[in-house]
Parts: sequence; structure tokens; C-alpha cells
Amino acid sequence: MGTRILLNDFEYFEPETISDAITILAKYRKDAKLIAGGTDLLVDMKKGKIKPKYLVNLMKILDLRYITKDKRGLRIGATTTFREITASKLIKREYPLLFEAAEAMGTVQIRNMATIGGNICNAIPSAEIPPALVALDAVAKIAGRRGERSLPLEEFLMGIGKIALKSGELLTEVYARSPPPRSGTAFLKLSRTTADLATLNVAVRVTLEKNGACKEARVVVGGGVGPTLIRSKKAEALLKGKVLKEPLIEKAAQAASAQLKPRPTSIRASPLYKIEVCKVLVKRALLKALERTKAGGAR
Amino acid sequence: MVKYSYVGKDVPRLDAIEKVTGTALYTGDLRFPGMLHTKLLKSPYAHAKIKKIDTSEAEKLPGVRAVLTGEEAPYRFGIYMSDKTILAIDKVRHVGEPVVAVAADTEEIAEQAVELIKVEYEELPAVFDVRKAMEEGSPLVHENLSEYKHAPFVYPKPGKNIANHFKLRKGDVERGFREADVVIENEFYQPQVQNVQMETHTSIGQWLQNGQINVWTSAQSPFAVRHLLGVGLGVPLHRINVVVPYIGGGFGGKAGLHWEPLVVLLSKKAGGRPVKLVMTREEQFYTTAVRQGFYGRIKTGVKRDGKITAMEILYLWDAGAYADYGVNITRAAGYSCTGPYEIPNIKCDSITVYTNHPYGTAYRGFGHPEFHFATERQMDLVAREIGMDPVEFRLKNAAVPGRITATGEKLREDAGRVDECIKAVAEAIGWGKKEPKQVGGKLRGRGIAALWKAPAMPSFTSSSAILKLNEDGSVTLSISSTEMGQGTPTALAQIVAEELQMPIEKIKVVTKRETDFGPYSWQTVASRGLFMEGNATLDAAKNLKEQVKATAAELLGVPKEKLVVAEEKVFVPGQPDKSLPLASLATAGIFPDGRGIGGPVLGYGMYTAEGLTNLDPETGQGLPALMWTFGAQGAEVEVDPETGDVRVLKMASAFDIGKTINPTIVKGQIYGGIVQGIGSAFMEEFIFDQKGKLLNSNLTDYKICRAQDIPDEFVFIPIENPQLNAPHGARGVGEHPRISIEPAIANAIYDAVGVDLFEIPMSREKVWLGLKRKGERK
Amino acid sequence: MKKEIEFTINGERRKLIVKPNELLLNVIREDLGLTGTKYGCGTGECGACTVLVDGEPVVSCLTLAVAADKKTITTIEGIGTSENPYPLQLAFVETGAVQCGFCTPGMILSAKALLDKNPNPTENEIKQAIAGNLCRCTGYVKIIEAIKLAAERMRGRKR
Repeated sequence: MGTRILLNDFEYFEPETISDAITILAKYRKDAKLIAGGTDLLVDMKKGKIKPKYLVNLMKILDLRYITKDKRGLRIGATTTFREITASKLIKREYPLLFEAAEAMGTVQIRNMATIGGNICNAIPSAEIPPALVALDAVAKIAGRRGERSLPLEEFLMGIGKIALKSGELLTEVYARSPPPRSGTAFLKLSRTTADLATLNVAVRVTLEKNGACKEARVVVGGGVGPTLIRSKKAEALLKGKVLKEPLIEKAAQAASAQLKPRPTSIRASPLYKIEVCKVLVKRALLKALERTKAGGAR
Repeated sequence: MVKYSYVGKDVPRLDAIEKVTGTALYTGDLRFPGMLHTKLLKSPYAHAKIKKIDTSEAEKLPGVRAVLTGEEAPYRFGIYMSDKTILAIDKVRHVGEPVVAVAADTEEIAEQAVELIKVEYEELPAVFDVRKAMEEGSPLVHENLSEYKHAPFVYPKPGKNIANHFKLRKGDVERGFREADVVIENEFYQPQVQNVQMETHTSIGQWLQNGQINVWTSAQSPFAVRHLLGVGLGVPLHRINVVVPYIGGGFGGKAGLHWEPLVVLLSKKAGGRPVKLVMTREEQFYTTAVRQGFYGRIKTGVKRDGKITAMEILYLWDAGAYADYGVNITRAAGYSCTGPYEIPNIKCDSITVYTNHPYGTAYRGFGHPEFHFATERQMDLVAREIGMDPVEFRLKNAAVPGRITATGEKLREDAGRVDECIKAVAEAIGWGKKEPKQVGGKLRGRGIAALWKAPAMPSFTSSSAILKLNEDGSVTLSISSTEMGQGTPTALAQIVAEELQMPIEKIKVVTKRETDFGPYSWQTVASRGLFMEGNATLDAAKNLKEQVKATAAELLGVPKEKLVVAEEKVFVPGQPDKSLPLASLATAGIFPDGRGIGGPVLGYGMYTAEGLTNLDPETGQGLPALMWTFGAQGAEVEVDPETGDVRVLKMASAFDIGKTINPTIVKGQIYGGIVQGIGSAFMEEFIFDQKGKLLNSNLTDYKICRAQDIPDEFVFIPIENPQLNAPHGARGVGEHPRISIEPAIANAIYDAVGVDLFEIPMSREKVWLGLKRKGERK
Repeated sequence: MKKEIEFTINGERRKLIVKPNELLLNVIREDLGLTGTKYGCGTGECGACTVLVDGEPVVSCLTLAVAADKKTITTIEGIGTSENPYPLQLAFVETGAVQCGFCTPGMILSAKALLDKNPNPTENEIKQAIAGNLCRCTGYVKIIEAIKLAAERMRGRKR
């Protein structure tokens, strides 16, 4: 197998509606694969890791490509590209966490092609945007023959390459909650170079009470730290209700990194390094988020 | 002071406009009628017997035109050590080694055919560590080493995994250590890495039924390809024509011979149809050649006053499965083993070791980036031990003109000045200046490393040039040194322009290299092109002038000696009536009565390396160097003490290049070399599993620098002490910017955070671990 | 099953019949003979195969030709010629931003997409815009310089 050609032959579909896509999926089931940006899928196909008989391109479904806001949050259609996310003034202004995570993914070319839905559904542990979305309590919206359902994104992501989609279903939207008032967020990525797969991704959100105590926190770590990202509810519990001072933040960072289960085989860093440096990144991210809560609404 | 019109000027590269418009043709862009495409079946094992190959299913597939196995290609190829066949025979020696090749109508069919081939292997014990490979009882990578042909200056040890053992003995190293006040020993390591030329190896071959062989290939050295192909296949050279169009980066990895024999043999089997092979990026990593791994141990004896008394050096090179180039890298690193210093007593053993890793070849610097990491780290470690400033320590031992190198060569008076390079870099990097060490939670430090390198080549290599005067008075320069990005052809055009005092626009350098027509050149390697081709070109330009003057003297009735060639004319200065346009002499001179004289003007020039000798097999003493290009690199870094992250803020570099022919081209070499070095310093490395399978054989997992990874600031200081036998005094500088980056950065990291690093790459994890251990010691 | 597609490439409308598994890179190079677009890695990491699709740089090695149906594509051959080079092309020549030239077409297209949107980019914006294009020769220094120079000239022209 080589990367110069795509050996795998397949039948190609370009549905224009979600229901047409579902019909095709239902018909061919495991033999069918969805393609959006193709930046991960085609690499896997070139390497012979997967050999779909039917390929269903979602990019002609206009109903899947949007960024809109409602009262409680932000809706991003599944085939919205990373480039569209980073170019969105709305996202840059009101969801800087998503902006930072989206911009940390890949190169300009890849961001122009790759979609948020594709990135989530590939379920690569090093993906940047899922930790950011989980820190915003994002929900995955799923369409299937029996209608729609929703699932918190943390439950949607089940493991390396594993997601909660059933046969015949597709991810249509991610819905991220608007950070409440007095929130601050931060995204930090550690990688060998720009556009490298992440060694570590850290996404955090802190929301303060009027009196300055922490009302709610989210601490999410990704990047080959386990089968999928890790949301540290322990760290969040430590922070909740407390005034955020550096020793407490360090304790929370410690709690978060204690939950990491990196594979020993990673070529990017050893488990020891990931666990130890995760503390540093979580601490820095929390401090940065805290700083941002003060910046009068900037999140 | 000579006043120059073209030399030393920023002439835009001759090839640039073709390249920016996408019209420049590379081998992969060429298409021929009936052309077939190649795919390879590669070994999944690091070391295994080939029990059985069944290609019957593949051969039945429609569109398959030739299936070739090693048994059908029992030819050994090599420039220094003929240890390699083009497809594995009897056994495979590394993961990714090609076993069967298929040529088919399309790449798709070829790939499908490859999937139909069945090979039975019997796995053999493999060896991956150079030190284990040298132990008694280690699995042998080459049982028949004694039967391989090799260059006379290569010393293999049959029965062992040693392809070459280069020895250097100068003075009495034991006495040197006795005289020393302090003796320090350290070990250093560098992994295998890859050249990562943006263009993967690409070749098209055609063996016509009339016996003529045509090759189009992304090779650095067309004449070496022709020679090695001819010798290997037993075909007379006049029946082989090798064409080299533009090359998408070489960096040594396309020197010598690579896959040309394979496509030629496939073509023969396919009845003479042209056969193309384009390596995939994955194959570029593990099927084609890589840079050798390195292990070094250095023991240095030094007096308290800073004078080094002795060095005992062991360099082990992880050549991988084949060592054709490895043996010569070992030798070059052996005779340069000390770095640019005068050391009175030396014992050096530089040994090429076979393992079951991918096989090694040249990569920009030819062993020097590897061993300079060891020597230049060691210089800092020794200086620290005796409490001396590392710059002062280097200057004290510097190999300046008149001093004696490791091989006993007394450096010529017009040799370059490493001391000037070191001082220039020290100043540029702010050496000794007190500046805040801590900036925003990060720690800053500075480091310096010096370097030297001479072209590694046989003592008698040569180059030639042909300069043709065209009917309109323009000239066309033919050389066989290739254009792979380094820009030498543009510099040569400037040399012609200067010599003929002719506008640069009137000079063409042939863009395609073709052995049927082009003049001989040994290879485009070793930073030798400007010096060798430059001298040959100068010689050709002088020869052209002689021819022109001879005819003009007759026509104008003046003595030849009075004539001058300039401004597209030949004339007697001050006598306007004694002048002829060059165009009027291009095909023949014409007397007023119509009689012709002279003839088509074709300047020929050549240059053969001067003053080099063989090296003594036991002591390595002799004259290996056409020229030493000296240099120094300085780094300023910023370390994040919590993550181990290192950022290079500034690089300062100085090289004694003798004379700058084209400042922009020189800077291109400097910046490019530095950034390659930074990639190697921090992130480039082959990572294998326990079975010798490369885990990062793609650019997702093997990282080279992107635009955001470069230093914030570059300072380049050209030092210009001309070498009298060089064209306008200019020395080569193609490889040198790539050398001593890693030790300069490592020394700067120590300066910043007090962590000593002995292994490349200096990943942030290694820096972090160093900091952690240091913290624990406290 | 082959499929008919139609796109505009370098201002010219082309109809092609392609197999679904054909890559845009190979169609551009082999079927259309536009060899300025290069194969470098096949996994979207190196950017040598960069083309502009509807004005945005993408890697053609990971683009299905069928998915380019109805799109507007620009390759290096479409932005300027030796006689009439695009300002970026000229700036690359003049600053010495070209060495082996294999990354150059993709690099120039990425730079063009940047300058089309952002005529006055900062150095960091330039670096980010070309981060998807690997160059092994130049160390990027002269490339960044060339993009700055072209930006300056192109702004001047607009004024």
C-alpha cells in the first residue's frame, strides 16, 4: 500500500439531504463509510486500514454546514470546516476556547478541508476540538432512521476510533453551551512542532460566583492520555465552591493528571512525561482562564 | 583589491523563473509513450531467509508487464562497497527492503499485482545496536563480506559486522594522557534520520532491444550513475545515457546509484518499454537510504592552561543493512575526527557497523553533524572542567594556518581561519555580555560550536566544463554538476560572466544533465561543486578566449597577447579599429576576401583535485583535503523549565568561504542548513519497534521544521580569506551550515538550565528529564 | 463506476470522466498534464500538492477528483507565466526564495490565498499561512521575505 494512489475502489454517493444519506447508510451498513473533509479517511484508505465499498460524501448536504447561535448556545453543523470555525467572528468573540482549539488543529490546508464532525467521529485521542467542546458541555446531535437523539459529547466519544453512532446513524451537529457570565476558558496544546498531532491538549473553563468563588469548572485533557479524552471531575470538584488560588489550582492539576492513562508505546512522549507535564499545562490553563474571567466578560 | 562586475553580486538564480511558474521539469514530471509504473513488494522482517517467492498470480493480472525477483538480478552495485543487490537475494536485511518489483500499465495494477505475490520467509535473529553487533556471536548481516568488491581505502572485517574500520594514529596518545592534568571521557549518541528531500527518489529506465540503455533520474551525479550501472550490469558505458533534469532536493541522499538498475532491468524484461519508479514517502523513509546512526566515545586529556594533549576517539556508525556510502562517511569522519583543532596525540577508530536497520547513505555533512555533536559538546565539557571560557578554550586549540591536523597535514597559509569564525560568532551572539537570564519564567542561554569539513572524495576526482560560443555571441555552459537547489550553476554563470566580461543575460547554463553530451564530473556532492566545477569553468572560459584570440589575431593582424575579450568583443584596448564582435568568430573567422579561418569555438576546461594523497591504512596519515571550510555556529535559546520546551531565539553563523560569489545563494545555504539542523536537534529521529520496524515512516509522525519552528533571528557573518587555488578564492559551503547546530544548541541549553545532553534529538522530554534529575540531586 | 465531472481549472472549463477513487492530484498531473503540482507525501503533511479550490488552499493528494465537481481550481500554472509573472512569483525569484523548487508551487499558492484575504500580513500570519508547506532547502527565511515583498508591492499597486 502506498500514499500515491487510492487503490480501494468504491461506489460513490453524494446525497443532498440528511434523509438521503441515512437511507444509503441503512442500505449498505458496514460496507459504507461517510466522508466529509477526507483528510483522515483517505489516509486510512490509502494505507489499506479500511476498505469501504461505498463512500457517502456529506459535503453536498447544505443542511449540515452552519454556525448559528441560540439563547443557550452555539450550533455547529457537522460538516462545518475548521476554517469556517476559525473565520467565524461569533466564535472568536464568544467562544475563544473553540477558536483556539480549532486553530491548533493541522495546517491551513487541512483546516480548509477537515470538518468538525469528521474530526469528532474519527475519535483520535489527540484531536484538539473535542476537549474544548466537552469543556463547554457540548452535546452531539445524531440523526438516524428512527429520528434524532442527543448525547453529551463525552459519552459520544468511547475510545480510539469508537463512537456511539449506531449503524445507519450520522452526527449532524454539535451544540456547545454558552459559557455563563464570569467564565474564562483556555486551551493549551503541547506538540513537537506546529501541526503535529498533540502530545497533550488541555481545555479548561472556570465560571465564578459573584463573590469570586468558583461556581463551576471544567478540566479536560486529551492527546494520547487514554482511549479518549479525560474529563477530570475530581479536579472540577476540588475547584468548585472555592476561591481559586495557586495551591488549590496545583492540587486540581495534580488530580487531573493522576487520571491519565497514556499508552507506553507513544512515539511522542513517555507516560511519565505526559502525566507530569499535564500538571503544568492544567495549572497554566486554569490560571489563564481565571485571568480571563476578570477581563470583563471576555472568555 | 580586484574589482568584480559579476562575482559577488546578487544575480537571481537562473532556474528560479521556471520553478515559480511550475514549468520546471523533474523526473517525475516526464512521460514517455508506453511508459510502465513500478511498485515494490517489501520485506516485513528485519532479518529473514527468503524461502519461496510465488509471483504466478501477479503475472497473470492483465496489465502486468514484468515481475522481477532478486534471483533474476544477481548484480552487486556500489561505489565504495558493493554489498547490495537491487532486490533481496536469499535473505532480507531490513524491514522495507524490496524483494519483488512489478512493472505494469498503471500504478494501480502494479500495486494490485504486488498484493498477489506470496513470499515465505524464515525469520532470523536480528541485530539493531551497533555495540551488540560488534560482539562475538552477534547475528551476521553479511556472511559473504569477504567476497564483496570495495574501494582500496576501505577495510572490512569479514566474519564480523564491520564494513570498514578506519584507523588514525598520531603521536603517542598514552603519553598525551600522562601529560594531561585532567582527563575527561564522555559518550554521545545520534539516531538514524532521513534527508527528507521534498521530491522522493524517482527514476525512469529503458533498456532497448538494441542494447541501448536510457535513464532519467533524480540523481545527484549522472556520471556516477552511468559508471556504476555499467560496471554493475556489465554494459559498456557508451551504451548508457543518463539524463538528470531538475532535482527536488538531494542533501546527499541522491548521490551515487539508487534505483536506476531496477527500472532498467524491469524495462528489459518488459521488452524495452520505459519503466518509472516513484518512491512513496513511506518508502523514502525505510526502503531507500537514510542517514547512519552514531555512537561516539571521546576521551580528552588537557592541561590546566587549556592545551589539549590527547584525544582517544571511538566512532561507531549504524550503517544499517548496507554500507556502500557508510564506509566512506566513516572514513571522512575518521580523518576529521577532532574537529577544527590541533591535537598532538590522537587515537581514533571510526567503524562502520552493519545492523538490520534501513541502510545508511550520505546526508548533508557526511558524518560531520554527527561527530561534531560529540566533539563540540566535549569541548564545552572539558572547558568547564578546567574552568576555562569555552570560546577561549577553542581559540587556544584552533587549527589555524600552519598548524597540523589529525592526518599530519600542515594547514596551508591560505587555509580558512576557524579562529576568526569563532570570534565573529561569539561577538554576534553577545558572548560574555551580561543579559537577564530569566525572561517571563523562561531561562535563556548561549552556546557556541565550531566546525570544519573538507570534501570527502577519492584523491584524484575531476570535473570538466564545455563553454560554447553561439552564433549570436552568447555562450552556453555545459557542466554535469546537477542543480538540486544549491544554486551552483548560477554561480558558475557569474564566473563565466566575470571571465568573459559579458552580461549575465548572454550566458546560459544547460539545465538538463546528459552523459551523452555533457562533460565529465565525478559527483555533485561534498560541497565540491563550486570549487571543482568553478575551476573547470574558469579553465573553459580561458580556453574559449584563447581560441577567439588566436583567430582574431590573424584577422586583425595583431599579436594575440595584445587582445582582450570583454563586452562581447575581442579587441586591442585603445584601438577602436582593432575590434571584432565575438559573434563574428563563433562559427569561423572571415577574412575580407571571404576566406575562413578558425572554426566553431568550443572552450574546454577541466580540474583535477590537487595535492591529495591516500591515507596510511594503519595511521590514517596523509592528505585527504582539497579545502577545509571552517565555521562556527552560535545559538541563543530559551528554555521552559517546567516543560523542557526549548526555543531557538537566535542563530549566529560564520564560515570562511574565501570569497562570496553570490550572497543570496550563500545565505540560502546558511539558513536552510541551520533549519535542517534545528529539526535534527529537537525532533527528527527514527523510532523502531523491537522487531526493527520503523514506527514513524511518514511526515505525520516524523517531523521536520515548519515555518513556525525557525529562530526569530539569523545572523550570518561571511569570512573571506581566499584560497589561492579556488575559483576567485571561493570554498564550498553547502553542507557546513548543517554542522554544529546540535552542539551549539546543547551548549546553550546547558548555559540556560545547567542540563547536559548527550543524545540527539534533544526532545523537550529529555531536557525536562535532565531538569528533574538535577532537581532531585539538589 | 466512472463519473463525469466538470470544473474550472485555471480559468478553463474542463469535463472529465473519472473513477471515484482517483485523486485530484493525479488527475491534475496525469490527465491535465499540469505537473507544477507535486506529490510529496500523499498524507496531506507536506503541501507540495497544494492547489486552490474556490480560492482556498487544499491538499490535492487527499481530495477525490469527484469531490472537485463544479469547483474552481487554481494551480501554479494558473497564476502567472514567465512573460507575465504574478507578483509573488517575481518576489520569489528576486529574494532567492527558490532552491530546489519542489515546494515552490504549493508555497506560492498558499501565500496567494493569504494575500488575497490579508494584504498586509504580519510575519506570524505569514508563517501560519505557509505552515502547511514543508520546505527542506531554504529554512523559510527567504520565502517569508518574498511574501512580505510581494505584499508590499501588491498593496502599492492597489493604492
